[in-house]
Amino acid sequence: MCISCTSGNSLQFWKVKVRINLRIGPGDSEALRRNIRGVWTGPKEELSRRAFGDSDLADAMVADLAEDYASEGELVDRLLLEKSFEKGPVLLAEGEAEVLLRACSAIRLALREGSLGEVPDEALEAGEADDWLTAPRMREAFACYLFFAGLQEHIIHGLDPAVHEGLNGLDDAGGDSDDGEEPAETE
Amino acid sequence: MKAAASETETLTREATAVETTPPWRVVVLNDPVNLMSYVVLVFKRVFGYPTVKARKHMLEVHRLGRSVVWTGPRERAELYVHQLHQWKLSAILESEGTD
Repeated sequence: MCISCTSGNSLQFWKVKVRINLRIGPGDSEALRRNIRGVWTGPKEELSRRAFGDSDLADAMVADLAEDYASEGELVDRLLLEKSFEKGPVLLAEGEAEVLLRACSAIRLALREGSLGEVPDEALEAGEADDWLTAPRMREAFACYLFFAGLQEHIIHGLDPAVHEGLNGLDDAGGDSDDGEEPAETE
Repeated sequence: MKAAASETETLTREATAVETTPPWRVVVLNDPVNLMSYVVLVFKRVFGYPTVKARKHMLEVHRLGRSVVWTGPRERAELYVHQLHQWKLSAILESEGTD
């Protein structure tokens, strides 16, 4: 999979548009689609059940999340079916960019639990999973995993460039030190 | 007059009950998938936090495995947890009274 990219945002009249130039090679759209089949079947109910118990509220929350998944899947399917990333820059309205951003997370979470289930979390987090990618199917899934991470980074940069300031070089051992503030603040 | 006094007493008791209801905590749990920048953006969008505060909570999640990102009335806490789920973050509700 060949990826090259730039991103940014622009103001068209008063609306923010996110421009994503994340080029992939010919045919890569199909590989991406192949690897994300099944992601949109439904939300992870246990998250809502864990937070809200087995209640009517949890049922309503799950139904709401299912609608989100449907719209996220629709957008990703459209972009990949139209081979948008193979053709050139993709211009998204702010709301669409947010939907795509959430879709990328859903895809990556599903890949971690599915095709990349044997890869340790530490390796996934570091993006260094070569030792565990024993089959071509897994290598392709990992390439998709990285593609959607890259796509997220570019959308985030387009939506809010300030987010990336100060994040470079952060890891468990260093980066920002705690500033002595209380751990949580109440509104 | 007696009825009015009784009513006042009831209202006072109810008000006291509301005030003493323990607040609820919105807790975000670590996951190995979501990017640091993504988590910062989500905290900014959902809670309206400035970048520095959003980053502080993200780092707590990353390093300690969890962060209490908001504390307050239950209904609002439930709404925030649901919004975090919409953004695919692992979030749970905790009552301060359950410690």
